[in-house]
Amino acid sequence: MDGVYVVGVGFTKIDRLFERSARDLFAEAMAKAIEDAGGLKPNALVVGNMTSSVLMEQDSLGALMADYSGLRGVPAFKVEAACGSGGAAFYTGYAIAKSGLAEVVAVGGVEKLTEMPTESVTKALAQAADADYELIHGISFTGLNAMVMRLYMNKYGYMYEDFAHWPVRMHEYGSFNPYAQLRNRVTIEQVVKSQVIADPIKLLDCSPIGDGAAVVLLVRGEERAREVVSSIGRDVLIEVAGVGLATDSVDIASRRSLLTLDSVKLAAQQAYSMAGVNSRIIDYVEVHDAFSITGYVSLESLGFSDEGKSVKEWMEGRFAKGSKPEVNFSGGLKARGHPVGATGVYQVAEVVMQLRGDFPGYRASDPEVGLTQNIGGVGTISSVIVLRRRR
Amino acid sequence: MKYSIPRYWRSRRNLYRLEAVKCRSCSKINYPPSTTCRYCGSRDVELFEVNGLAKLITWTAVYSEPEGFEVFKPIVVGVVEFPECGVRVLARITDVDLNELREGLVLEPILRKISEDGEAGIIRYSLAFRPKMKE
Repeated sequence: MDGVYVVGVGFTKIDRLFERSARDLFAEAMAKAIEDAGGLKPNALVVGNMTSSVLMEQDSLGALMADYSGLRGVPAFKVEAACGSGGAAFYTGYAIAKSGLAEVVAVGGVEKLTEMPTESVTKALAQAADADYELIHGISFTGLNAMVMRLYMNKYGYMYEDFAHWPVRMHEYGSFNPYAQLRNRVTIEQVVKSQVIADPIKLLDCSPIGDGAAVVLLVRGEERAREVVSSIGRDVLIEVAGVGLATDSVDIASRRSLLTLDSVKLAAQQAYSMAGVNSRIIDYVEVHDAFSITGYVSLESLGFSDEGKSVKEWMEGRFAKGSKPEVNFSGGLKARGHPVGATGVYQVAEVVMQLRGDFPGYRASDPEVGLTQNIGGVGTISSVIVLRRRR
Repeated sequence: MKYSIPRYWRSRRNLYRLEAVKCRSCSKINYPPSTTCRYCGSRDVELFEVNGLAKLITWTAVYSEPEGFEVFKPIVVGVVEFPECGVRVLARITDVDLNELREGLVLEPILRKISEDGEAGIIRYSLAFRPKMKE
């Protein structure tokens, strides 16, 4: 069967973009992706987004984004999987491309979070949790992750300070990324002294609230993909080698384990098996570090570290430049930013650029196989995508 | 009115009564109670009441609260487990000093008010847990 290839990527800088609407941001990302693919126009669109209904009073999002990107008429719809919407949109777009239903498929993500008060945004994001059995008790999304972090600290004997190495490294990488929301560097001391959001999670453990949009273009068949990339003088092909998507209970209390993300494990198994790889051969990774703890349990659930070991390994310098795998040189959700439904698409675009060798920030060491991992909820719905460079 | 009355009424087994179901097919306990077993898909489930004391597994104190919970700040929420049946519940922990909280703390279920919904809306209550009172 013919493979699916990523032939174009585009995204906006992530920020508090008060002067620009979601449709403007999406149109910019789409125009950049089309330009990156030598003018190739998509004939189907899947849009990842979480909060448009609640925060923008906007449904029919697929049609709106298609229309304002100059694609009126194409099949287009929104895919929602909370913070994992972008990865789920990619999974859907991959299926459309693979089936041949549309020749060129655009997968996009867009989110506009910054124009409502923080309590409203906190409530909208908390809707990733179980409304009847979790939200009713006043828990926030940060609070749910804080309970995971507390358990992790108690079970494996870590101090709060041990986790602070994650944000420090992410801010360093973010300082090289012109598209990142946070480009300032921080110290361990600044992380430790930052305000408590939901004990033990502090402000500098959290990904920021920001606006942004990203788009990637998919085509089926090696011949067609070569035609597209050679038209713009590029000799590298990026193949979607494997995709996986899996779910867990929405409420965290009925999970098999609070410290292993079973949905990430299952999604990774699917993607590894489709790509014919295992975790040991992955060169470069973008993981979903919505909070420091989420970054660590993600590395463990993907099979890069044993349970309880990733924090120690990270402190010792693993996962930095020269490691296998290298992790989150974009700055991750922590510093690049987390425009919720767009995040999974940013990750794909960033890994594609690292594999092509044209990422505009901190560069990986000439990777050949890359991976993205995107989570909705506290590991409620997760996707894993394996991308492979071919000459 | 912000809250749906039928939806709140349907939640009474969880919010007031602490009921769970046991699957007659695979024997697994489902909490919250469901009409189909979440583990095997069987519809042959049996309702029972969860009794006794629970133990604290993990907890947080939320300082950046979702809209509507300002008065409870910091909102202490935990996951507790009833050792006999293994039911795990996420709920507010009340009447507790933050420095008293520790793994294994013995808790008893109680009812606590959450909010009033204007003049004509419902007054919402829900299950919460507090440290066991001395006998």
